[in-house]
Amino acid sequence: VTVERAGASASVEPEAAIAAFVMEHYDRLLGLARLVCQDTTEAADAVQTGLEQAWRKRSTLRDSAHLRPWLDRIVVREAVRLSRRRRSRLSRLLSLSSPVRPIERTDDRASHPASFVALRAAFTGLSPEQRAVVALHLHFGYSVAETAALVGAPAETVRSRLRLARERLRRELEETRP
Amino acid sequence: MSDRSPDDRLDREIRDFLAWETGRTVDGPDATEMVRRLSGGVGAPSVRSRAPRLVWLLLLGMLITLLAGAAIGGASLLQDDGPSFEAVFLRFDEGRPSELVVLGIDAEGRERRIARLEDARVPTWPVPLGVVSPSGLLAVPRPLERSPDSDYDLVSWEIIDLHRPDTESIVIDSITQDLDQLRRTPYYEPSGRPSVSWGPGDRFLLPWRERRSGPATRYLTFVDGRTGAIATVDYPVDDELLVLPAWAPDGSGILIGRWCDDTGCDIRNAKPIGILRPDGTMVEGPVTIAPDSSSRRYRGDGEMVTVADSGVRVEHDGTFEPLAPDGEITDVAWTAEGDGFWLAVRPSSGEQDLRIERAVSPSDLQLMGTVDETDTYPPGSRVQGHFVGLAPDDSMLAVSLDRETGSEGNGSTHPVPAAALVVPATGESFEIEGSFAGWMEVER
Repeated sequence: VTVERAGASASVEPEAAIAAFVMEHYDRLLGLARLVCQDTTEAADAVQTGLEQAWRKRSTLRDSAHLRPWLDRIVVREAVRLSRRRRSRLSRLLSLSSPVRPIERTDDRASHPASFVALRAAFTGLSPEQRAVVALHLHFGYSVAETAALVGAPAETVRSRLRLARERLRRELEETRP
Repeated sequence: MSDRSPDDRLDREIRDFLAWETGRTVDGPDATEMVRRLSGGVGAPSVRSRAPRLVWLLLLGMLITLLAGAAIGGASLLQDDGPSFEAVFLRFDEGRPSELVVLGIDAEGRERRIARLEDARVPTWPVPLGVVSPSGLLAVPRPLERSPDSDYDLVSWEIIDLHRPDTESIVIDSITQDLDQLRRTPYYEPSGRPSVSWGPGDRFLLPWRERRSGPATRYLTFVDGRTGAIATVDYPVDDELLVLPAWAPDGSGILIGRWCDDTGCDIRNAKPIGILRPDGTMVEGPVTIAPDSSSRRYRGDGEMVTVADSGVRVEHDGTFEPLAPDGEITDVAWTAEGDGFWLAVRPSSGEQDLRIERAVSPSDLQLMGTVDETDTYPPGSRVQGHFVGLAPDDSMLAVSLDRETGSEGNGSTHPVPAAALVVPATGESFEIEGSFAGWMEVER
C-alpha cells in the first residue's frame, strides 16, 4: 500500500484538453455569472470555480448531456454566493476597494435603446437570487422546474422571485416611458 | 409574431436586454487567461485582488493579538479550552478505481485531504468501509484474494494512523498474523458489511469466526489498534446474528446484542443483550433490543438508544420510551453530555427534504434543519440514506448523504447549535463516495 502524504501535488492535466473544455463553455458561463454578479471580476471568479470543480469531477458525470446544466448550476450558485458576500457589511468593511465595475465601451453605450438603461438600473437593484432566476429562465431558456433545480430552491420560490423581478422591471420601464 | 400579453411583451424586452447585456464587451479575463489559470492547477489564484483585504485582516490580527496579550489574572482571552475535532470522510476515486481518499473537514468547513491509499481495492460491500478512532486511527477492511470458499471473503484490517499517514500501517491479517483463522462473517451489520468498533484507548472489537466445515463458532475479541496485539479475550458467540456493537464512552464495556434464535429473527424472540467487558466477561444486560435496529448508541450508564424502522427507543432498565417523529429515522447521535440526541429523519410522505432534529426528551423533538434535496444531481435523484455524527465536544454536526443513484454522496459539517441548519445535498458540501467515518482530534 502506498500512502501519499496530504498536500502532495495534483496530477498535471493535459493543457490541450483543459483548453478545449474552457473554450467550449467559458463565454456562456461568464455571461451567466455577470448577469448574477453585476461585477466582472466576481463573475470570473465564479466561472473559475465552476470550471475547476467540473474539470476535477468530470469523471463522475455519467451522461454528457447533463454537463451544461451541471456547469450552469455550479456557476450560478457560486455567483450568488459571491454576490451575497459582497453585499454583507463585514465584507465591505474588509475590502478597501469599491466593487470593480467594467468599463463600458463608448460604442456599446451608443448602440443600446434607452429602455436598456432603465432595465439595467432595475436589474442591478434585484437581489442576486432574483437575477439568477431571471437569467436562467428568460435568457438561458430553462423551465421553472429546471431553474429551481439549478438554484436549489423550490419551484414556488422561483416563481415568486420571477414575479417580484418582473414587477420591479416593469415599474422601471413604465416610469421611463412618456 | 406579436406578443400575446403585456407579460409576454415584458419578457421579450427583458430577453432582449439580457442578450445585449451578455453580449457586451467588457474588460476582464478571457478564455485564454482562464485556461492558463486552470492549467496552473486547482486552487489557482482567483481574479480579485486579495491585497486590500489582507491589509485589513492583518490589522485585525494585530488587534486580536493585543487583546489576547492583555491577559487578566494570567488568563488569555484566546486560551485553548480543549481539543478540536475534524470530521473524517472516506471516498473512492472513480477515476482511479483502486484509490481511497481520506478527507477531513474542520469546524470552518475547510476540506483537507488527509491520505490517499493507492492500493485500496474497492470492496463489494457498501460504505462505510471503516471507522476512525478519536486519536486518528482508521481501520480499513481489505478483502483478501485467497478465499477458501465462496460464502465469505477473508478479510484483513489495515490500521492507518491518520496523523502520520506516511508511516507503515498495521495489518491485522488473517493469513500472516495470529488470527490465521479469522474470517469475515456476514452478521456484524444488517447489510453484511464488515465493521470494527473503536473504543477508548484505541482498542477495537473484532468479530471473527473459526474456519471449519459445517456450523462455525464465532468469537469476539479485542485488538490494540496501536500495536496490533490481540487480546486473549475470545468471547464465543453462537447466535446467527449480532446487532451493532456500541462502546460505552468510558471504555467500561461494549454493548452487544443478538436477536435471532432457533425460532427465527423476530422482535418477540429478541434475546437479552449484555455488556462485554474488556476482560472477556459478559454482563447480561437488563435491557432488550429491537431486532430491526439499524443503529444504536450506548451511553454507558445502562441507558441506550436504538434506531429502528418503527422509531427511536430510549431504553432504560428494560423500558422503552418511544419517539415517534413523522418519518423514518436513519441515524442518531448522542450529545456529549447525554442530555439529548440528534436524529436524521426521512419524512414518511409528501415532503421532499430530509430533516435533522434534536430530541431533548422523548416528547420534545425540535426541528433543527433540513437537507435540501432539490438540488441533488443527477436531476430527479433522491438522497437515500444519511447519517449524522456529533463531535465529541458537541461543537459540530457532520452529515453524510448517500444518493440512491449510485455510490455518490455528500459530506459536510455544520456548527452547533444550528438554529437554521440547511444541509445542501450538493453545493458547498463536497462530494464523496464513501461515508462519514468518525471524528479525529486535531491540534488547534
